[in-house]
Amino acid sequence: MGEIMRIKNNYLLYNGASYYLGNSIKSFENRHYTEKTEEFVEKSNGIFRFRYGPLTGGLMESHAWDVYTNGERIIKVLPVTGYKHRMIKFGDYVRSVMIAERIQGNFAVSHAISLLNAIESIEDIVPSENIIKIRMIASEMERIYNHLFLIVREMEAGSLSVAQYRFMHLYEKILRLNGDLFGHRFLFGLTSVNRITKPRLNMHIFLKKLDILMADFGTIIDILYNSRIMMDRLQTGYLTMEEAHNVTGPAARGSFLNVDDRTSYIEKFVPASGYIYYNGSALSRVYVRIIEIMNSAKLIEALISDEISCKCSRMVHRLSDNAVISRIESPSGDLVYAVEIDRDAHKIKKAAMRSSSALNIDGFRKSIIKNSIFTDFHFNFESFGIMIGELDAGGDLENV
Amino acid sequence: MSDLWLLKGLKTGIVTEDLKSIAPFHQKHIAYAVASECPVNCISDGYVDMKKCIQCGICTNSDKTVLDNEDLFRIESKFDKKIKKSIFIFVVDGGSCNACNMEIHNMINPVYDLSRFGISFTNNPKHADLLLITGVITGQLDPAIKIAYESMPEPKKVVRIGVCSISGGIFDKGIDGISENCIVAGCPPDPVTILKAILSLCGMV
Ligand code: SF4
Ligand code: SF4
Repeated sequence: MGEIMRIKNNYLLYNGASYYLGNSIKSFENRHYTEKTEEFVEKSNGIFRFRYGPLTGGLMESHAWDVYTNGERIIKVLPVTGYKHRMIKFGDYVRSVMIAERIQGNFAVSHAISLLNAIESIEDIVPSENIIKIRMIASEMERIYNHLFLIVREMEAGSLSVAQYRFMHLYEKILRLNGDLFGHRFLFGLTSVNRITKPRLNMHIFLKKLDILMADFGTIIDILYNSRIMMDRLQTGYLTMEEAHNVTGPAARGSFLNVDDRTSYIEKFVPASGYIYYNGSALSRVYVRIIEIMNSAKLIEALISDEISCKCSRMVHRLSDNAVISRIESPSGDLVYAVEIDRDAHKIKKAAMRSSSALNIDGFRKSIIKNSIFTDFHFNFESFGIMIGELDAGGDLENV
Repeated sequence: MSDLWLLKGLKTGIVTEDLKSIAPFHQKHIAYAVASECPVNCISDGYVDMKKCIQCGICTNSDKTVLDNEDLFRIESKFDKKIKKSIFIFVVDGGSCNACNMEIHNMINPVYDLSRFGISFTNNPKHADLLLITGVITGQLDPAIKIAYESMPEPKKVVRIGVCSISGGIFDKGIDGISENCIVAGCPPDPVTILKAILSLCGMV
């Protein structure tokens, strides 16, 4: 395996060693890599295959699926990737962070912090408590708007237009609050090596505004919980706990799995077991997101009122003097960067990334074949929070 | 149930905003900067080339806001006549980070309410009047974008959304060979700027 740093089937292959990345910090281990066998697709009478994508209004980002159906029923779905491969090339630290933010723009904070944790831990930089605090507030704001957006997409797929527009209104308000606080609606440029953008709003004014939005969110949720239509439409895409063993984030928590990287350092405020909900359906993944939005707001309040210690506690596994694996809980789950640096040039020499989407796509594929028809595709897909930009990044981050 | 939505709606009131009253988001944080610090070399003589600026924030911590960028969008050629029918938009992601896609999608937000102008999205390029392109145009998506463009009926216009599709921004840009009629700068541009550009392209303002 020589000099490579690559991620393959959820293993990091680096300098002749292999590390199983798991779906959270708990399941990381130094384990021998085993090759996966190619999937066999049955070709018999009655099975029809069609290509869905790469350009279609139903999918936000360009990608495609080979969908195998028998009558109305979906038998198998195979992702076709490679469409969004960009020329991603890391270099000096500042530029690399900017690129990481733009791998998946709506997860900009998570990608930037994960990469920064890696760089800072190799360089033995310990950011101040204030820097950590601002990063944590921003990553919770990122979680709130992404969860809201996925709920919007679920309502859209289910033609629940009134609820959809109510959530969209809130989503826009949250983006504007991001802009007022940090100068960018999607929080680009928030942070760099040992540095953050100075907030442009007084934190207590920000908190008041957030409280008002959360109160509004609470009322909308109360009405939505009474909606039989929502309950019926989203009862699809079941994923049992066993099937979800390699899934991460809200998708795993919606299938009773107690995984959340944040619990390793702020257990009191991230009650992972409190999220575990319902029956592993698309509905339960939506419920998890609803609860997490409220918990993120509480977490932000606790951070601003200094109830949480912001001592540096990054989740890294050291590989060598110049290389680490770093992980963070992105809105869709465990996000992993492996980085080797050139100390003298202050540059990234090698990098690999395993997104949460790379794990959740497997969960989606398992759940969509359970008595699902094509109209269930979107409810199900959106409920996993799969993002194609990070899944299909290409360049330095191309997975083999 | 529907009564509850109705009551909530009455209590909240109208949330749609007058376009004139919404300031474009990214205008406020472009400020004077040291040209050498800009990661995409888009500052010269105190002027920011909005076709390249990735809104990285490096030059925005200065208090000395000196630039008034009128150039948030630029129209190369409008429709010959004012369009009297509804306008349909087909969006293609040519390799974006998704933020541009999300801001385009956000135009249907009741705050912006795209439909009040008789404009809506279509899933079929054969019905589309406008092609919105986001992202760097990867080699794999280039043929699909061309097919989408060629299947659109005349008269048709192309709008590039975001610096990735205009200049590549921080990435290398692919070449799709489709000439644009309008560009909307920003990383990502905000919904109000995109909407104003579209209205202007269609002769509606
Ligand atoms: S905000 Fe734009 S002009 Fe300023 S440094 Fe960044 S890319 Fe350059
Ligand atoms: S212009 Fe910026 S926001 Fe838009 S796709 Fe490119 S990197 Fe993302």
